[in-house]
Order: sequence, then C-alpha cells, then structure tokens
Amino acid sequence: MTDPSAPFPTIRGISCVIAHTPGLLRYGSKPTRELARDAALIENVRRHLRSFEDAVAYPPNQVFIGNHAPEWLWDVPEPHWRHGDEGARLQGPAGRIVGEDAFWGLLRMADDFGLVDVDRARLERSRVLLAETGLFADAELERVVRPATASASADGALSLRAADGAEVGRIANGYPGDSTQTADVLLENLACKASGALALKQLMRQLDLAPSDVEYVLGCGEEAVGDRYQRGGGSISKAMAEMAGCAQATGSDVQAFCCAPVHALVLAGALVQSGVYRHVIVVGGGSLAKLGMKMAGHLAKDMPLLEDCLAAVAILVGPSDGTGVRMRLDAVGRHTVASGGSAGAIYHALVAEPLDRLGLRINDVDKYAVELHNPEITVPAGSGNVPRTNYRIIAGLGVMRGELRREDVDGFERVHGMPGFVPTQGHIPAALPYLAHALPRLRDGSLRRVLFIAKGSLFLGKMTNLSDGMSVLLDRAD
Amino acid sequence: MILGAAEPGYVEMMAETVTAGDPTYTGPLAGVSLGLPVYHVTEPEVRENADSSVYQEQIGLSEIAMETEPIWTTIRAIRDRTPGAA
Repeated sequence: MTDPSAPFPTIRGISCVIAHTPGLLRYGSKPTRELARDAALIENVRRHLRSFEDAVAYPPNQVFIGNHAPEWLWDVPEPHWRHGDEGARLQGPAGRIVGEDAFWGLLRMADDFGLVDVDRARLERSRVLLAETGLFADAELERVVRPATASASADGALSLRAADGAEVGRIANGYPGDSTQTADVLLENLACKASGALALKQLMRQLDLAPSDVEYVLGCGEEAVGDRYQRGGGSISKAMAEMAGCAQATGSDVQAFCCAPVHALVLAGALVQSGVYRHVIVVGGGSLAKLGMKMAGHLAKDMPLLEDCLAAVAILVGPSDGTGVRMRLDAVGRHTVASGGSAGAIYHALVAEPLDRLGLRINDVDKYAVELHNPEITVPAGSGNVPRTNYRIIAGLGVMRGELRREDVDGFERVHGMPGFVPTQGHIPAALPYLAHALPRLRDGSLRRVLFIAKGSLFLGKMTNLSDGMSVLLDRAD
Repeated sequence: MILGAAEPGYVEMMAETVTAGDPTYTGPLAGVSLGLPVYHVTEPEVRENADSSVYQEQIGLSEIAMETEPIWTTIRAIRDRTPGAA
C-alpha cells in the first residue's frame, strides 16, 4: 500500500529522438517479406522515400521533439507531409532528429562485437555529424571509426544500403547457425540499442544530469536480445546505459508488448518511492521491424513512406522535486486476467477504476494520453485513427457513467484529447511521448491532471488470447 | 459474417473481401467471391437477435463510441449488391 501522506515520485523529464533511416526501411518486417516475394518492388519503394529535410520538416516529427504542441496539428493543412513546418529545427525542447548519415556511426558505436562494417568515408562523416550534436565525448566518437573485426563477408551477412540503394557496408551474423543471431536480428537489436542510447544521452543533456547519477535503467522495448538458449535473454537496457556512459547504472527490461512503457514507468515510480533508487530511467529504443509496416497502403495511395523513422524515448523518474508534478501511484489502472476483453471492460479497468479510487469524474482529467499513433500513417492503410477511436470510447464511458451526454462524444477529442503525432513504432506511441508537452503544462498549472493509458496485444505472441493494459495518472499538487 | 470494426473504411474493405473478393489483392481471397451475407454487429438485425444484457456488456460502450450511421450505410450498400445476401 502506498502511504498517502508520503510525497509521490515525479517525472523529471523526457527525451524523444528520431533517427530518419530511409535506407533501413527495407529491413523492416513488412518490406523484407514483400521484397522477398517481389524484388522489383524496391524501385517503387525507393521512389517513395523521403529526404532528410522532408522528415525533419514533417509536422508530427516537430511535435514529437517538442517544438509544437500536438494540438497545433489541427491547424496544419492535410496531408501534413505536403505542408512541412517552415520553422522546423533539428532540436526541440524535448528531443532531436538525426539523419541516416549520423545513424551509421551510432550503429557502429553500439556494436561491441565488430559486426557492423561501414565504409570509412561514411563513418568519418557520421563522426562529424555526431560531434555536432554535442552529446558525445571524443573517446565515444572514436568508436565510430574503429575497424570492424567480424567477417562481414561471411555467409549470411546482410548488406546495409543507403536510401539510393548504394551499399554502405555490411552486418555479420553472430554465432554460426544460431537463428536468434542472424544478421537481420542483430541489426534490429543494434538499431534499438543505438537509438535508445541516443535518447538516454539526449535526456541527460536536457536535464543536466550526470551519467553517474543514473542508478537504474528500465528498458521497455519489444526486441528479443539473446541467443539460441535464451532468445529473449534481455537487458538491452544495460547495454544502452553502457553506451550512454551511465557507469553506475544497471538495468533490466520490462516486456509487455506496447503496454510495457507504462508498466515500466509505474515500476520506476515504485523503485523511487520505496527508496531503492533515486534516479530511474525508462528507455524505449526504436523498432526497426516496424519500418515500412503500412507500406502497402502508402504505395497504393502514392504517398511517401512515412514509416522511415526510428523513434526512441527516455524518461527520468525521481523523487518529488518541488515542481508539484506527482505520479499518482495510488491511481494506477491495470487490466487483469479476469478483466475481460470488451472495450467496456478494458476502459473500466484503465479509466473508470483508477478515477473512482480518487473520486474523480471523466471530465476531471484534463487530457488523456492514449496510443498516439500518427493517423496520417494508419488511416491510408485501413487501420483507422487510433487516438480518435480511443477518445470516442473514453467519452462513451463517460456517457455510460452518466457524466457526459451522447452529443459530447464527438467533441471530446478536441477538449480532452489530441491528434496522434508519434511514429508507429509499437511501444513508442504508447501515451508517454505526451510527457514532453504535459510536464511543462502540469508545472505551470495549465493542466491539472493527465491520464496515460497504454494497451498491449499480448495475443500476438500466441501464448494467450488476452490483451493487456495499464494506466497511471499524473497530477499537480496544489 | 458479422463484423465489429469501428472504421467505415475498414468495414468496407472487410465486407468487400468476404463478398466480392479481396479488393486489395493481397490475401488468399483475392479474386475469390464468397458472396457471404455480411452485417455489422451494431446493426438492428444483429442486435435484436442478441441477448440484450450480453450485448450491452460486450458491445454497449463500443456502440456509443462508433459512428454507426456511415458504417451501416456502407455495409448495406455491399449487401444490396451481393446476390442472395440482402
């Protein structure tokens, strides 16, 4: 039981980073499978890749790094990819965007086994670009240009290609004959590690936090890091912590499909609240497998392949810091085994139940952060506007509770919600990127309560037919 | 066939798939016309045949949240043009 008199933990900050990797899009799960069926498809894919400048100016990406509020997207004409932000910047108050030219170097920096071999000129260029971020020490930058040691020409090595199709290098297999360490799996894991470590670095810079102050890192991604005897052995979190220079940290991973970030946030809060650690970071690396996931719909509509970005987040949880922002560990919502799978059952568990515990009504929560998938990516692929569907269901819950009228359902999103703005990177859109916008507003009092809600499709793993869900309320102590 | 999706566009694609055949030509039903009668779970024809307490428990909230009119219009149009399915 939480002692209600004790101050709750707080969230000190979040970093949201994007690595624009159009060349790596072909190694996403969907493009890999489609290209295996029809190799000629690559020409069509290539014609629909975006330039780095277009990815930077893409309005949802500028929202992701904190340069605009999500609600600003309502004022940007659609489609957003045709209406780049003229004031776009590489950095924002909550993050930054790097290009593929820099990412090759990050991959090499992440690679402790000499698996990634990229041509020297590109790595030199990466080193310059990464130095310009100001995030890396000279010794770290030196790692970019070390020679690879594994034989990237060995059987099973995978070509790494730039957006224009030019081979820039190769990545080798891990242990011979180990199906869990094929080159494509290792690329996926290294991409996650590299982008997650970038988010850690960015977070520490934004908060002026010394790497040595980080005690524990909780990973919340969906990659399976391991070998043939322990396929999901884990702790990519500690690998990220090492790469980010957090020498006094250890870590572990929380895995619950797209629901893991909110699980991890609550666990981090509990670790801080209990006094086990003072500073815990929740980190989610980018998901290579999801690049180009909705490609078919985008190609059919002759629009750019918008799933060309790896996105990663890092969130610092710490003890109460005088800002008044509290993680209400007494208002955690959880979808239990017995909760049931209907929308009504899920939202009762994740919204109604925690609000009831605090005596709150649906309208008492200023903003609901739900699965914030960018609808411009999902709608053309027939997957609908995910945040909007969530807002309509929360409003419907309010109607069933007698707190809202049926005619309030349509307008609920505009008042208590927001447009989706996050790349469709699985766990990354799971509510938490809104922290970039919610934290300043909770601090200045323009928001009082925000409920963060995530759901996870456990059934995809074939171990259960259940889904999962978790929510947590942030509020402002007055 | 009873569909439950909330998006009219998605409902249309699924309904088309199980009547005339997969309109996206990506799945096993590409070019296969099953001609199944297809309904949305919120339509009166389905609702009136369900136990009302079960319906309320399982579908009630989703129905409030869905924009049912465009879904019904879409799915009825597909039924109307499917021989024997209306």
